[in-house]
Amino acid sequence: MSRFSIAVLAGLLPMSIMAAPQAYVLDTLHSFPNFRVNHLGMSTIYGRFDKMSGKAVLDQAAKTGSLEVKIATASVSTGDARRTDGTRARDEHLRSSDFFNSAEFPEAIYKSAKFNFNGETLESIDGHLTLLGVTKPLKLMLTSFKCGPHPFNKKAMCGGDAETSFKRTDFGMKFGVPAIGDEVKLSISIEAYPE
Amino acid sequence: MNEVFDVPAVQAGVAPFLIALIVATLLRRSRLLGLAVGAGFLTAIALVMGFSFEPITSVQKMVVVGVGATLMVLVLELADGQPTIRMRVAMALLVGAAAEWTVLRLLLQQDLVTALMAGSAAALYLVVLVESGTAVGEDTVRSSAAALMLGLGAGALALLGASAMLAQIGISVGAAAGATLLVQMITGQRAAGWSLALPASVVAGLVGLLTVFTGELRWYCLLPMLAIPWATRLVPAGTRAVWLTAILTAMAALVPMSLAVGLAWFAAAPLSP
Repeated sequence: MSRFSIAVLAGLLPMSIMAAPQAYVLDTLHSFPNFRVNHLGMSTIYGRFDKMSGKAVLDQAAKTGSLEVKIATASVSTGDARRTDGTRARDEHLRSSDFFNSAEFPEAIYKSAKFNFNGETLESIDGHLTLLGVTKPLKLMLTSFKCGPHPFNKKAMCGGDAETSFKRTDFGMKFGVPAIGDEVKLSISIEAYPE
Repeated sequence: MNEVFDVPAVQAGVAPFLIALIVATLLRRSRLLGLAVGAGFLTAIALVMGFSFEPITSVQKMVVVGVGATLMVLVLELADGQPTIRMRVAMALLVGAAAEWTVLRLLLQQDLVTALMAGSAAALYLVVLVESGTAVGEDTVRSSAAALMLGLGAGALALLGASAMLAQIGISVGAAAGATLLVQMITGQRAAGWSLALPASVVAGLVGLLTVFTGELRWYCLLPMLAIPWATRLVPAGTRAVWLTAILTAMAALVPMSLAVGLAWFAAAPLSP
């Protein structure tokens, strides 16, 4: 093989590595889905799920990717976990069959196989949300996305924020509508490290 | 006008009571008074959650079983006569199977030993409750009083167990049973038939079970509910007026109901502030 051929092959090698899809695992301590919903037409109730896990595959060169996250519905938290007056707390009510029915549906799952790029920027993710046994399409709009080294330990990582909204009645969660809003706004923050 | 039907008290109490009152008035001379309880139950379901069954959750299965129990009133009463041993055994098997089917997906989330124990206990609870409810069926005032307290008790337990929707369903059954009792008090005549308490026993039993499985209710709070139908027998049959018998019987049934609710209240309260 000529030196020229070797040089060309050596030049192409890093490019082929960059084109390979990279698998990521979600950092469960820094990845949370947050939600907000209108209460009585008066104010907004904010909450989040404390436990989310998942995996993603990202190929930035080919501009493709996939995502699968699992949310533990029993980990719902709205700042009212237990009351001292003997009445049931809001978080207990949310775990009941009136809302997330955590005993029967312990996980909500989001799966995507389509990442939409605008140039080099990941703009949105098309996927499906399965909640209470019902699966519906749901598009996540990325408000930020970045891959780079961790500022302290220098490990490669990716992170971003996404927003979306859906009607809970589409998933069979009808209790309290319209006093408790039908539309749920979701904000998901994710940090992930290569597998 | 539509806003009225969004009010929980209307969904669970007023609407089921009025619908049951109309049906009970029309059927007061028949053996089918149990259909009035079913009508009240279905009214509440229509207002609270609707009739969507895709996918079918445990609560929706409860609705299906409640409809089945209401239709069973038709089948059993049109067969005429009193229930035979064979009929009672068949009903027990059917009720036990209905309980298992309703809580199946919940059991599948548990390990095998826990699922077997919980499933067996659920089936046994519902079979005993339904059997004791129909055992007082020969006196429709006793049946109505038992059904009233079973429904109200299940509703109160569900509320204390963190499920307002199950509470509404339980209360609707109590409200509908109250309508059947009221019709008998006003007409001064007992109705015929023995299956009046069947729909109420089934739905109240399932409300209690689902509150244990999906809510925060402790299982032992359900045990006093089993005594409600038997408590109605404490008021001996006599020649007193129907309205007086109805009140005394309901008060007797209120005792175990109150015990169940009291247990649930103290179980919900924290041990320390």
